[in-house]
Amino acid sequence: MAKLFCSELAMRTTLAAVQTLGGAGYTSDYPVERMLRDAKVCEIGEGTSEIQRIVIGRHLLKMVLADPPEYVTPPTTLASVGANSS
Amino acid sequence: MDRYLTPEHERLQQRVRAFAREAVAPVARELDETATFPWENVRAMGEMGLMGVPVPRELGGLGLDDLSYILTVEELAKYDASHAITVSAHTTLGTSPILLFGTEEQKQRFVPPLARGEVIGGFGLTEPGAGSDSSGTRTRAVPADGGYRLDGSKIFITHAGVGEIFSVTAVTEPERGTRGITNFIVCKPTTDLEKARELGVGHRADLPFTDGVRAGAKEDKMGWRASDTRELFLENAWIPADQRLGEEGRGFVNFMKVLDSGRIGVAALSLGIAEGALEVAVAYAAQAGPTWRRKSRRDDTSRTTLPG
Repeated sequence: MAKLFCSELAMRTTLAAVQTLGGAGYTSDYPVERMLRDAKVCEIGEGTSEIQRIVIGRHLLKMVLADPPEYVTPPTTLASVGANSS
Repeated sequence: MDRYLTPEHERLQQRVRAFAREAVAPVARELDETATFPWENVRAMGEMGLMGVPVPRELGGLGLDDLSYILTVEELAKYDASHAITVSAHTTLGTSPILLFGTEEQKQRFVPPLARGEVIGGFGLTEPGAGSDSSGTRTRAVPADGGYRLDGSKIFITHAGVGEIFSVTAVTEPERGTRGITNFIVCKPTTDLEKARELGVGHRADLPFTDGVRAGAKEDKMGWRASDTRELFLENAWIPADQRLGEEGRGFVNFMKVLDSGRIGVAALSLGIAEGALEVAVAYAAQAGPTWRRKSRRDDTSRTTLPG
């Protein structure tokens, strides 16, 4: 979950950083364009975000099905950790 | 005092930050442009103990906790993700399989040179055609002459070129699916022998190199460009039985555990990139952008160095 969350956070942050610097951010005069390129592979290497969601989803389902709490229905649990949204 | 960090953590963080600012930031842009592996800095990081932060002291590491390792990767990534992934892939993917599943003899033999950063380690799981489905291993391992013959290839292998010690998966019992996969330790000489000899890092002549283990051409990547990524070929490579890692059939389960810890490294690395980008953006915005830009254009190193 940390890998999924942080890699997508890195993409959002580096995109915003490039935008903040405007034209300068788009050139290699500043390190933000490199950071943006470096961030992208974090969503791919050592398990893509898609694989992460499958792994997390499977784990949560297993947990919920093993011991279903009365007050939480499985879809709410999944949604609350962002496992079924992007 | 920080809520989560001990004074020891903070000291390590300061040390890594100072190193990253002085040695990594000034070269990051050029290494990215030329896709060059940072051998000089790898040697320096090895001397600082950063290539084996969570490895026990008696096996050549710093013997620190996982949080220390995470802080190391995070601090490096603020300045250059390629340096951070080099440490991360080397530590969690290269060293930890042997540390977690190796026999005492395998640990004594392979872990110290890795933990001290004398040679680089890697991990071979992904195969052409299998993509993200790591259970689709096709590389075969057939028992032969008191060992195994490995045949197949692995793609997108971090350190396949520069590294010397690798843990790989191969199918020992095809009919058993993921329960028929076994791990092996394979060694091949680094592709940068000249550079290794010049700097005295990256090569150990006493490793059990195997004929038929060979690295492919370097991938031309979008990011992490200074990190080395290649295909790793296993061509009828004979591996002695004492280089089988863990029990037969446990390979897939064991490697999934390694990946779980590897992902913590990528999370730390991602966090570092985000923090680095945020610092640059805030500094740029605060200093009325264009003025700072004109100033920094004159000074070559400040362009790739974070302010402050």
